[in-house]
Amino acid sequence: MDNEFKTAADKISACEAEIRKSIIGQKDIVRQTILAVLTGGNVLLEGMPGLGKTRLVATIGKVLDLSFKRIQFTPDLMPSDVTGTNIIVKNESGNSFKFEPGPIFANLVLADEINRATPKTQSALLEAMQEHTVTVGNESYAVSEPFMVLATQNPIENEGTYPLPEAQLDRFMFKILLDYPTREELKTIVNLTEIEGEKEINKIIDIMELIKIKELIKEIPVADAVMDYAIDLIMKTHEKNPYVKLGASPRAAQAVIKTARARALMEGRYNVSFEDINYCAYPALRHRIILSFDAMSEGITEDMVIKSLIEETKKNA
Amino acid sequence: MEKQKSKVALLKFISGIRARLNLKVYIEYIMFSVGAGLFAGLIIEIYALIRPLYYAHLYLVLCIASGVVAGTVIYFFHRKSMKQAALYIDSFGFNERVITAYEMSDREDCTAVLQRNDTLDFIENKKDSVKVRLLPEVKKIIVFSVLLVITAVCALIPSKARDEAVLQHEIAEIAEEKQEEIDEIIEELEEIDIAELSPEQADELDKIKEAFEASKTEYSQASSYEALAQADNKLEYKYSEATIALNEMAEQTKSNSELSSQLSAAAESASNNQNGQNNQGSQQGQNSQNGQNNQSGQSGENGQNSGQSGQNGQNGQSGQSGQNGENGQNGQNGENGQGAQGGNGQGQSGENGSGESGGSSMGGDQAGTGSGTNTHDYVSIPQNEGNDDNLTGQGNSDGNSTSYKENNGLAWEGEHVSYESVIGSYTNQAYEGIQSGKYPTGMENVIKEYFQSFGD
Repeated sequence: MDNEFKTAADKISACEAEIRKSIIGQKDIVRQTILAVLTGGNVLLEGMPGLGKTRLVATIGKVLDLSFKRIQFTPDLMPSDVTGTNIIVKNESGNSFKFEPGPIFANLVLADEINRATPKTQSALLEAMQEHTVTVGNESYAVSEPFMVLATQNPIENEGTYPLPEAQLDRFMFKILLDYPTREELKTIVNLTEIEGEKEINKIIDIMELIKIKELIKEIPVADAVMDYAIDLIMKTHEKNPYVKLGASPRAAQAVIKTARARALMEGRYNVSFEDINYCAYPALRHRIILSFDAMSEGITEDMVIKSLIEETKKNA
Repeated sequence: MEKQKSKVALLKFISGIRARLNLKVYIEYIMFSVGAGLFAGLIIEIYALIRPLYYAHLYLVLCIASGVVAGTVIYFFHRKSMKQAALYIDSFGFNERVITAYEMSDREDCTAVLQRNDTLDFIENKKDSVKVRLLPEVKKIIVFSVLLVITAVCALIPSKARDEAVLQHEIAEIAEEKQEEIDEIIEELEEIDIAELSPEQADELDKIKEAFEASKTEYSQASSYEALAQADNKLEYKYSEATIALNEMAEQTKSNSELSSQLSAAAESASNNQNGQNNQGSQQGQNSQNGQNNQSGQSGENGQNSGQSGQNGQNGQSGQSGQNGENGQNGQNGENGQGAQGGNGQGQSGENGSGESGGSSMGGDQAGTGSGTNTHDYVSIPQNEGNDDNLTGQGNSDGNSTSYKENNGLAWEGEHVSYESVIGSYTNQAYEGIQSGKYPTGMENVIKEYFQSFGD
């Protein structure tokens, strides 16, 4: 058992290192994405164009040996374009309907610029994201496991977009913000892509190993004190706060605990720490907290609110 | 076995830190509570510098003791648990390993054992970094020390109020002893079966008890040695009177041996108490009142009243001659005058009365005889000649009356204030009141006329 934990931790570290061969900088982004993958959560990546969102997802797919499909969301994209549809096929016995799976039937689905599709199409993802099934007509089809949706959206160019409703946002385990690379990172990126040439990305673990790691993560114990700390943090979002219009849902608490366990394993620990909770709180809460008008008018961001809530929780712990 | 060992090692480490944490908490709470007690004690000591408060030091000690008790009680409810100790250890970079291991100490599954071993490895490497600072913050220590020094200084500074408090306490203690003594004699009197006594005897017994109760009240109100001496004097007289009365009653009830012996016992107690009183009085006389004895000798010379002189003589023998001497002086003020006044039937005011008396006094161990002519305002009781039936007296052979003082009540042998002085004092107060607008408009003349009428 000890070896299993150590092997799992080593494998995850190796995956991280392999991904970082392709993704320069963005250490936390990579790590948070891996955490979401290890816990089977969906991720919403938000960042400016050209920051490597799609590249990140594709690299993860390669490293983890997961099937990867990309859907470019546009306003005219139909739900059936995502889920698949029944088509008429001719065979010896005559014509019959056959379900033609859509791009959602993959382990990793990249929903690129998800906010450009209509709400109807966005909703087509809901069932798959939450239930890991797709219903077409009267038939439900299970998606392949492990399954996760990595959606991207652009914080600018809001014209002609359809912001994701809160209900759908809540289905995403993490919302990860991508920032511009630093000067050094940018130099390395340019060197890597334009001068030296891209390094080959290798598969580190297969699906079976990934499932095993997911099981091991569930074994990581969470002390009552740590659990209380996480719950207190979530409950703080419900307390009266001039900058918070709506607090986080119970899914937020689940997401924090789940990913904190994964982080503990990544760090080679057999237990969850307060630091794990704090680390996972930002990506798990930032899309679940609805800011008030005051916050928006004062330029207060979700991360600022979360930071202050963490500080308050630390004091009371 | 190995699992058990690791579990014990873990719990031992947490327990050790917990014990130190609890000691730290105890020191903090004790310091805070004792500090609060010191502050309260400081206020009491400051108060005792201004106002008499004999028990200020005791209160200070009680405040500090209360602080210790309160601190201990508060500590009891704020003791650190093993979980808190584990969390404390985790705050030194253990990443909640210890709390998790502690919570899973009952579990023996693979994950729990792995986690525990990992925690023990971590503890082994980092245990020296876990520190528990027992001493409170320097700021708190300074505040506490300053408070301690100020309180100690305040407690040691001498002051008039402190001296006064000591004096008052001594007086109160003496008074309390006397009250207890009186209580005992009253209890003894209450044990006597009144039903067996004649109505007169029962009445007499009640009067004796009332007299003692009055003395108790007087002792409780005594606020100076003078007041105590006065109360002693009265009590001694009451004892002597009670002894006589009780002995008489015992004699009268000889047929009822039990009752008679009860009365005799009470009389003996009263007599013993009187002797005790005399001994005390003797000590006082030896200590400081010799001068008063001389004075009383003079008084004896001037003493006019034979009855009173007899009492004074008794007191003088017992050593309280100084006070008795004062009585002699009062006698000088004019029992004779009372006689004369009584003769005129103007006993109430008596300021202009004068007369002679052939009394003698034993006050101050000196038999004094003499005559005097003094103005007086004592109530005089003529022999059966007064109009007031409530005034009874016995006439002497020379036609003057014999007067005596009733020493059983609270008001006895008070300070002599002349009529003019009393009227003058009230008149001044009234005039001052008029000037300060104390009285309703239009009443000024009425008040003035009223007081002027006394001068007419």
